[in-house]
Amino acid sequence: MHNPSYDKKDDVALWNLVIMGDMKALSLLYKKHYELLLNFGLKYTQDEEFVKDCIQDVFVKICTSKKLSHTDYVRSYFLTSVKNAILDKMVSMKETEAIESHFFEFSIEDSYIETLFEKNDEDILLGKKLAAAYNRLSENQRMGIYLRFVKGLSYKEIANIMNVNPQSSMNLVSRALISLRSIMTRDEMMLLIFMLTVFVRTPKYLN
Amino acid sequence: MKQEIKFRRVIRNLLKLAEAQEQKLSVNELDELWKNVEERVSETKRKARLRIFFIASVSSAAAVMFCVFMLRAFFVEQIPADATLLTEFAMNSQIDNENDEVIRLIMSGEDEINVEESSASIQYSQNGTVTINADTISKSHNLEGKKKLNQLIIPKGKRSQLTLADGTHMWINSGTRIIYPDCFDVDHREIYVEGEIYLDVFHNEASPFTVVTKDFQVQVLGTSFNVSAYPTESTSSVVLVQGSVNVKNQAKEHVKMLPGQLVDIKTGKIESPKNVDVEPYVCWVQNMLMYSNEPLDNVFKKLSLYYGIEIKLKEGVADLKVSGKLDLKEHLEDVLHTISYSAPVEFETIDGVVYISKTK
Repeated sequence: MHNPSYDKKDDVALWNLVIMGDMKALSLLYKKHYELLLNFGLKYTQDEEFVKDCIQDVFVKICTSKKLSHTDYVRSYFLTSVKNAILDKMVSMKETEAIESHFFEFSIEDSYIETLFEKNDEDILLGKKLAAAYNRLSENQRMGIYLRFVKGLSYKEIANIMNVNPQSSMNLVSRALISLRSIMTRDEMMLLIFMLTVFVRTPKYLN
Repeated sequence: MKQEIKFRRVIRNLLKLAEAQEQKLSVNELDELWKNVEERVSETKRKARLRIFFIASVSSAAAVMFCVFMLRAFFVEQIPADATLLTEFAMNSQIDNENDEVIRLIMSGEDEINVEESSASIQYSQNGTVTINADTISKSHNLEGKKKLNQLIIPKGKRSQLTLADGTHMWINSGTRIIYPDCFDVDHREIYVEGEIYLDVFHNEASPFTVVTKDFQVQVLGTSFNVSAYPTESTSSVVLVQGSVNVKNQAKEHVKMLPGQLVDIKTGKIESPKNVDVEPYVCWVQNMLMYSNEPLDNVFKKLSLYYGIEIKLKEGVADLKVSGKLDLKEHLEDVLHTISYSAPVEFETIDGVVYISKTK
């Protein structure tokens, strides 16, 4: 019959096809966002097979579900589903202790950071200081910063995952930035905020 | 300025580092992973079919089934002790569940558990454990041996299975409320129903099992049967597949039914039994709808309830007649397509409401 040109469709249009039972559209969404979901899941546990299983569970469920509803935030819906699947499975496996605190921590291996910073001692020191400060933020703050700055999601999408309104998700991230201030001098912090604001406006700046 | 440049550099490097720590996958790997999803989906569907076959064979061997359609609120109650208790409880705990989207289990009138999946499997075991979809939710629901009433509310578009402590198993259809004790007394078992259920009653001659609805009761010793008592339906009816049951109303009229018979109950009056093909009345348990020469009006009413989606009929559609079998495991769109092959109708969806119109 007709062959809709899938390439030109955005996530929402593809998701609408999925609701109508279009498996090709779902496979495209799956392949497009798989890396995001996997890496996001790996922030909860290092067990890659476990995370992959959870992602498969989520998509098998979508395939067999009769009642899918419309969403403007497809990525957020996937991320939330994967997060819930991981937490549910951890709970049912009685690994509750493992869930407590280490989500979205940023680990820096010394050898790695040294190559990256070209053995510039001052940079390395500041980098470690920032990473340590980041790791002391709350789980939600770390997740917000990760999704915003590493993955380039919008505040609306992040708000959708955290189930808060967009303003709260911005506040959450800015509060995170403010608490980073505590370990730095005032001048350094002003610059940091300035920098992150630049990223907010133009994430492409990174590339 | 020097400070700023240093900061830019460090942050950019940190983000680069975070980016470098992310896993990457090749196109081939992604293809393989998706193939695995597809395999698991067809596996799930195959398993679902097998399980339904199993249910069908068990239930026909086990004996009785019957269907009841009934109207709420046209009767004065005159029901024996426990049944009165159940009915009173049902009246007092009337809950507006028109717009519910989750399955709600209200235990002992206090704890409420919501299940978001499209179906739930709930199990009460003899040692007092309650599990939902294999997760244990309560371990000591009845240590004092005191009977407590539980309530299970299934919204439109969802279904559930429930196993009671006595081993009785039931399938609960969309838009149904049932009330039952967490454990039964030794000499009688009673549950209250608004909506539709299919029961596989655990055989126990010493403890008769009674299904109480607003207007009438059905008593059995231990068998399988189907009660459909939607408050919004105008006629009640009982369909018996095998065995023998007694249907009685508030006016103390009662009728003993033979297998393969249907009894209508209109405005509380029990009419005489008719011989029918029973399968169309019970095949919802297997997620099927079966019709012969049925007005589309009725078909779409059922579909609307089953999928939890509003369906509006345009002129000339309601009275068209269809015959055939619909597989409700499919997406609503596919089911509508199937109908549009056998009746001159077309459909479109606007803002979540499905409109059915006659083909010009």
